[in-house]
Amino acid sequence: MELLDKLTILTDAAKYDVACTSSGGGDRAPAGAGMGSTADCGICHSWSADGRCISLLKVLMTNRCVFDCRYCVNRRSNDTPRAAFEPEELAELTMRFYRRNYIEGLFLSSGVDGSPDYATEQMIRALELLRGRCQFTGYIHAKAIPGTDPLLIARLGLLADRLSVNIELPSQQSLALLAPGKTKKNILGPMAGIRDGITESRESVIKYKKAPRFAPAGQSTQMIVGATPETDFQILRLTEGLYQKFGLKRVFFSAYIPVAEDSLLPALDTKPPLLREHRLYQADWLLRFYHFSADELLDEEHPQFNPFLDPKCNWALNHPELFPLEVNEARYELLLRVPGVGPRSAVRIVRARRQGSLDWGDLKRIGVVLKRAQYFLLCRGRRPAGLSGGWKSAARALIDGSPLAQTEQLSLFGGTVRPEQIGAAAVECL
Amino acid sequence: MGEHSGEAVYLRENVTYLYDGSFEGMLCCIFEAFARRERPSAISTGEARQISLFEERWVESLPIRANRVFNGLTQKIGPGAARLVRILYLSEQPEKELIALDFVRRAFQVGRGVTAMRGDPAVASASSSVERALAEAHQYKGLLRFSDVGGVLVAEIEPKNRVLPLLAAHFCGRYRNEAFLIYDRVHKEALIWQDRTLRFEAVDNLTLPPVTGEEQETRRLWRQFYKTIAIKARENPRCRQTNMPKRYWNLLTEMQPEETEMPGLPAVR
Ligand code: SF4
Repeated sequence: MELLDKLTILTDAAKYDVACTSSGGGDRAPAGAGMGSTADCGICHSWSADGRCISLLKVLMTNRCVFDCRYCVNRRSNDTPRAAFEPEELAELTMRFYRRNYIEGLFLSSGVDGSPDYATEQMIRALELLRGRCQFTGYIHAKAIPGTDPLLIARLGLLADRLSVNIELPSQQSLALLAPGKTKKNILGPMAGIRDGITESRESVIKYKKAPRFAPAGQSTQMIVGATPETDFQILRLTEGLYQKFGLKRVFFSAYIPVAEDSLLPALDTKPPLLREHRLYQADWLLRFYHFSADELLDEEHPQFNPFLDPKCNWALNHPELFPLEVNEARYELLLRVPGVGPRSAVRIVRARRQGSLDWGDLKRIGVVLKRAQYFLLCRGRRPAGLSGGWKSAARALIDGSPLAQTEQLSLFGGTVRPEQIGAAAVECL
Repeated sequence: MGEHSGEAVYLRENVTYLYDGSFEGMLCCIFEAFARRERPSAISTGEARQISLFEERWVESLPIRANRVFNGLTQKIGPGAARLVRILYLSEQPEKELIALDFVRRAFQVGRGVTAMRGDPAVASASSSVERALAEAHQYKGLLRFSDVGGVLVAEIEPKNRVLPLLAAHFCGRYRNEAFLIYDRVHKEALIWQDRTLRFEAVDNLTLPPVTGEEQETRRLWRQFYKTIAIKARENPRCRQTNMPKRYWNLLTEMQPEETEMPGLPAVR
């Protein structure tokens, strides 16, 4: 088979896997032989027609698979062309792309060809060639396949910058129903093993610099959203738990795109729940960078995200007792909770106010989005000049006007909608 | 100026400076303005010169003076402030020289804390120009494409800011054992890395030999990957364009139609 055809099949088979960041390797530009470096902030090399960042050459080693996970294009029972890379072939292709700055590195996953151990050995062979013969010192993200011998995963972790095990579905019941070959235990087992490997390696690197580094960019996972009935609240709680228990760097969500006619799955013409996925990412961001906890954002009574407001605005509007905050005094953690203030502007505020008290003009130049923030802040005890209207105007100013949200809002109103209706609905949703 | 910086001293404004366009020259203009207590109405290079009703004065580039300004900034205010002025010089910001002058004046009034004063007008306009230049450099770390031309890697870019110096450390580290050249078509400069040595050169234009079969095949593979990785059900051209503005497309391998012949590099717009 031609390389071009293999690449097509094995890219097509890998494209639903979402993790594609290349960050967190620490800035590393080895001085010696070889080629490649890693950047702490992550670099996007392109954006595909679906608007997603392309950072890594994301392919499968093979799309042959003995499992039959019902939500997966590569399931055994699916009639689709199959292919496999030779380890040499993949290593060489990666180098050709990397050398031209097409990519930041490789994201390698695999179908379970024969057994998890065999599939992992093939991946290891490709990565050994890359790290060895090709002297590649750039970014590698490798997937650990559930059921693989821990010793093989240990080898994989010494070759890769990041490892991930897919949690696949947000609950054990769904997993049992749709992925008969997988169990919570054989997913969480390797996850814990990788966590311990990372901790150990960090400790020994502190002791002797030259100690081998195990997955220095940490561990991540992903789950499919919208194939099964879990609520946003369940998913967010699970996410929070994964961060806490396994020290994950990232949890990725993937809006389910129907790939099979199956009575257990959404119908083939179901649109992927993109707004839902977006809200989950917003909430995930709030967990990681804004010191929020899952049950501040959702609860048993409100288990789904608000289609009109992003989770942070939704939270703020539900807490009128905390606002307005004095910009010149409020703690960093509280500033972060103000709509229109992000981590960057919060840091800038804290640094700048040490040099002298801030007024509304300063805030604007600092990059605070006043249109949103003005309802929640005071500068030297004062509201901005000309601000009228209370909490309801605030709710209206915060309505999510992104195209993604608008589509969903439209559908709620049966196709036509006036701005006042949205305003009223947004207030009601609180 | 008094109004901008809260400085009470009277500064003469009815004068304009001309300089050679170099970084040293810009620092010498700042030196001149401090020495003569002036805040010129314009500081321009020979090319960007506007008709002026005021006295025009040529400011000579003297390394001694330039160093005094730069070292003064580094020692009295901090390396962060010196770096800011250096990157401001590379930025495309109109009137960057005046912005630099206002910033330096503010810096010497306030002292070390100045870079933290992101809300101050003089600091904010200097910082935001610098942030834009750094953002463009960051974009190019991903969006720049090399072609293999007889074993040497060659890339062309069309940046708004003079990003080459901002890209050097990244690419020289990454491709430390390669020989490569990055050509900035807009500012007609090239960054050259050869035998682990870095140099910058003014280059009027770049002509390249046709590319080889291996190069062509690699491009074809990359285009195929690019096409295949997109998910149809999620198509979102608007989102793509926000993240990857159109002005980058004509130099991106994956945004070119399949090549029938073998041009050296994607054609100029
Ligand atoms: S094991 Fe992986 S590749 Fe195989 S069917 Fe399940 S999800 Fe798909």
